[in-house]
Amino acid sequence: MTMKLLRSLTFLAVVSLAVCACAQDARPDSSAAMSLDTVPPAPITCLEARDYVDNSDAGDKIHITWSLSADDGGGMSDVASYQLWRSEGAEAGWDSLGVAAAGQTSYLDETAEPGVDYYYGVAAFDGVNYSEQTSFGPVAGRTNFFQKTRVSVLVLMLVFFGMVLVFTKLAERGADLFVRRIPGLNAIEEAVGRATEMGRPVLYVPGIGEIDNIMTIASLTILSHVAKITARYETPLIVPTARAVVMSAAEEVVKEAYAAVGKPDGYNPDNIRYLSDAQFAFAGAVNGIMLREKPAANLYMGAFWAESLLLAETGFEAGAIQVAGTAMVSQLPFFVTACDFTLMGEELYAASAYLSREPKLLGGLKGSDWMKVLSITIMATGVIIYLLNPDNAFVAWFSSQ
Amino acid sequence: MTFIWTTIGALLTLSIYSFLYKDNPFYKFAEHLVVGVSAGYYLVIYYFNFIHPNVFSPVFLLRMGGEPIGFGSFLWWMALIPGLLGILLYARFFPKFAWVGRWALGVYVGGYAGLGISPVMQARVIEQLRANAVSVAGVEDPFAAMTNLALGVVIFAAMTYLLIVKRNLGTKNLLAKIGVLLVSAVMGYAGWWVLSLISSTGVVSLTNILLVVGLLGTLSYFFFSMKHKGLLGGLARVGIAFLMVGFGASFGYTVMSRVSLLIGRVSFLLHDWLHLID
Amino acid sequence: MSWAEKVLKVDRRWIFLAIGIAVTIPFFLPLGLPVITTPPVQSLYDAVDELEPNAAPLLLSIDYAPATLPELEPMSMAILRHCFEKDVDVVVMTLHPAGYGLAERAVLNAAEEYDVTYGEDFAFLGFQPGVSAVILGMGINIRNVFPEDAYGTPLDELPLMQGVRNYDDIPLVISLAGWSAAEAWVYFAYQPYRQTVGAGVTAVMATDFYPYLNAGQLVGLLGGMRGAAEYEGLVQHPDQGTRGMDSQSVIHLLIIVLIAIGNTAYFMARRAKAPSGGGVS
Repeated sequence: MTMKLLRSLTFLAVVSLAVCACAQDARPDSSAAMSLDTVPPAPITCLEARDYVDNSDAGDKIHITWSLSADDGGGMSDVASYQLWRSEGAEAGWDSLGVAAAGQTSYLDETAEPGVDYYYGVAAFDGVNYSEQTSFGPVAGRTNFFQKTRVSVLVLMLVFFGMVLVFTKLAERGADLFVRRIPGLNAIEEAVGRATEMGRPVLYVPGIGEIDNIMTIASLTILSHVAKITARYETPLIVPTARAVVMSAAEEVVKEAYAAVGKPDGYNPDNIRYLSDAQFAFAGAVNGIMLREKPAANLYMGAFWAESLLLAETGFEAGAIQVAGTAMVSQLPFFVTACDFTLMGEELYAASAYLSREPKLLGGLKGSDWMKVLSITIMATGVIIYLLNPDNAFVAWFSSQ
Repeated sequence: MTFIWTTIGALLTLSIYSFLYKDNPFYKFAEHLVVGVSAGYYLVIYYFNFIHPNVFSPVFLLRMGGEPIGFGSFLWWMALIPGLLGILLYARFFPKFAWVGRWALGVYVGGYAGLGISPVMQARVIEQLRANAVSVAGVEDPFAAMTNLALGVVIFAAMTYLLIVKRNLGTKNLLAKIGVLLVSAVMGYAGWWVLSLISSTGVVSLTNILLVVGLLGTLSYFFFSMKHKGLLGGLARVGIAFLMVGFGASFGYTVMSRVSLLIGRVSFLLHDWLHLID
Repeated sequence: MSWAEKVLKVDRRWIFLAIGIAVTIPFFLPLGLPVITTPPVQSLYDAVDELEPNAAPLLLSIDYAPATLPELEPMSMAILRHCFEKDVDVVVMTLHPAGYGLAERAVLNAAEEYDVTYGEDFAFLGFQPGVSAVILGMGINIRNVFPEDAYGTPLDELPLMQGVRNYDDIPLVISLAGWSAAEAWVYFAYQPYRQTVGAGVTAVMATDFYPYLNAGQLVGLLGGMRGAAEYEGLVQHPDQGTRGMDSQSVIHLLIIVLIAIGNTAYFMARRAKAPSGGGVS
């Protein structure tokens, strides 16, 4: 503890000294004569060398910074370059390290041995004469396992993961986590009701994603809910699929749903169909079902790509009530235009969590919910603090590398 | 020679477009050709750009990037182990051993999640938060910004309250009233900027304000832990409006993109194939 | 059947035909509508324009596949021409397996028009799979990811790659992509390494990229064929992008008219059916 304090104090002292030196050194320089150049340029000031931390830190980099010589840009304006030297001890000899162009105020030494103490010397050069050399040291390169400039990323990530885990655990223990009812679910129920009134089937398309796609999984949860309603109303439910595994999963889901409401005989395995893995062949086949079997309600839930508009447009022309749900942002505009109701993005997952109360889904949903609250809070705080002081540490913390 | 290839390309393009009239054998032929050719093409590209230099050459020829490497050296193992893990993925063809494929999948998924999570968090959450905080407040003179803000909020909050809230939302819940008031204040601020825009100042700040209002509204719309009533309801309604505008823009861009593809093909047919235009 | 219902029931093949005609006519009768440069394109152009000739190279990642060729190839041609014209060194690579041939074709075609030499003024590194790992790995050392160029020459034997170790030695990266590769450059090159990144994407994706532009994560952005046409205008070398702009404008006009007619018909037909104005929500 004492050591730490001492180190901080030393650091502060060094910094304040450096600042003082910089402030004092703004001396005017107009004494130069334009004859044969025997006058060396003014030396540089504020030389500092620090261990350089980047993403591939092996402790072999030291970053050297300085303030320009008074003759660089101003004064005699004759600085051509800066010469850098390095030494392994105050008494050891200086080795040439490199050259920085005039106007440059930093140099990255990428040839340091990790852990070795170095001294650095820099002098301005006008083509003939070197200025007095300024030196700094000792400084050693270290391998850093932790990049302090990215703390904000770590903190927010831990907070987010922590919230997801806590909510998941809570849900597993049966805590009553509130999720509001998504209006889209009402729309689904209305659509199924309408199909029953008209005595026509319900078409449920679980997207063309694979079974490992989270949207497909969410879709199967909603399918279970829909199947329970159609089972009760004794309305036929057609489920066309584009993936073999999704088809067998859908079969299980629908069969269980029919059994759950006490209508196991109402389940018709012929209505859960595998059509084609090829995207447009699948879309064409589903369009065929819409035109031939005339479902009164078309539900599209899951992962959709370019076939979205083909399906929704045909369904619209066929006069069905359509409810869609997807998290594919690029396809949402098409569903929004062509369907009566659309579950947008996260609403699909929310609907699925609401219906299934599955702990992992609930945990993820609640976690991201509170992350949104945190984001809004951070943003609002940032706006206010920034208005008061644009150079504040709060916003800077978030803009760190 | 070029002419023959261009002609083949042109005929295939026409075959694909024939689908617009109706499904036909030409379309089917072209479609299957695309699938088959691309599978073969990918195989070759993957082999010579990836498997050969990164696995085959180091493991069997003991050369990596033109440099010789030692048999059993660190680099040799670094080429061999991932190669073996990759082969494990094919265990799924033997249902009895399908489970070993999960090891490889575990390494793959774990590795990519590790690589991805932190940069994505930073790029899509942290940077955006910072940029929004700075952009909304990013007016040259903080004092002018504050007075603008205060004046704008007061005037428009009062107007919105009188015109809309009092008439339409006769709610008894005080919190809800305050909420709606706050929403109108935010909207009011946007309105104030419209005015100041007309008078003299820049567009940038107005778009920034709209950006933040849209962001707040959209985030509220996707907040599922509370019912959409009161403040949240109001914000969510703002959000849905912004979402719809966003979808409209996105729809327009998509149409533009698809049209570009058509233009590209027509240009190919007329320019590269038939040389009708220059 | 009222006219509104007739409009709604029109065989869509007539619309396809109208679009086909609308796209073709401007090729023969160019309107020469002006292409005004937008700020995101201008700033990408400026970023390329400020690069030092014959110094640290621009890294151009040509990440598109044939499906998005018409929108993105004009961009790569315009950027390559800009570089070759100004003697800026270019290193080309791709993150898409199908991009290999397209990237090679673009860079060789552009190189043919100028007096440039392979290995000295430009190089083609080829393809590596594993987007995020590739981009992150190049931040440590490009040679770890691309030990040799596309033709099997070790990088150190290429004069322009000497002294180019990682992003520290690359002033600008531009990714041209019809998928998430351009985003990956923001995630894995800009975020951890603060590498300056510019992007050229299809119009479909353009809206998703404005937040990155707004937050300064992208230095500039070309969106779709229109973005390419603007860049072509800036380098004063009109080509595929500019040629397509008249057709684009004509079709947009046609589509706006069709949308207006369609919506009017839709609401008239609905009113005729349900006089009360109620209907599906």
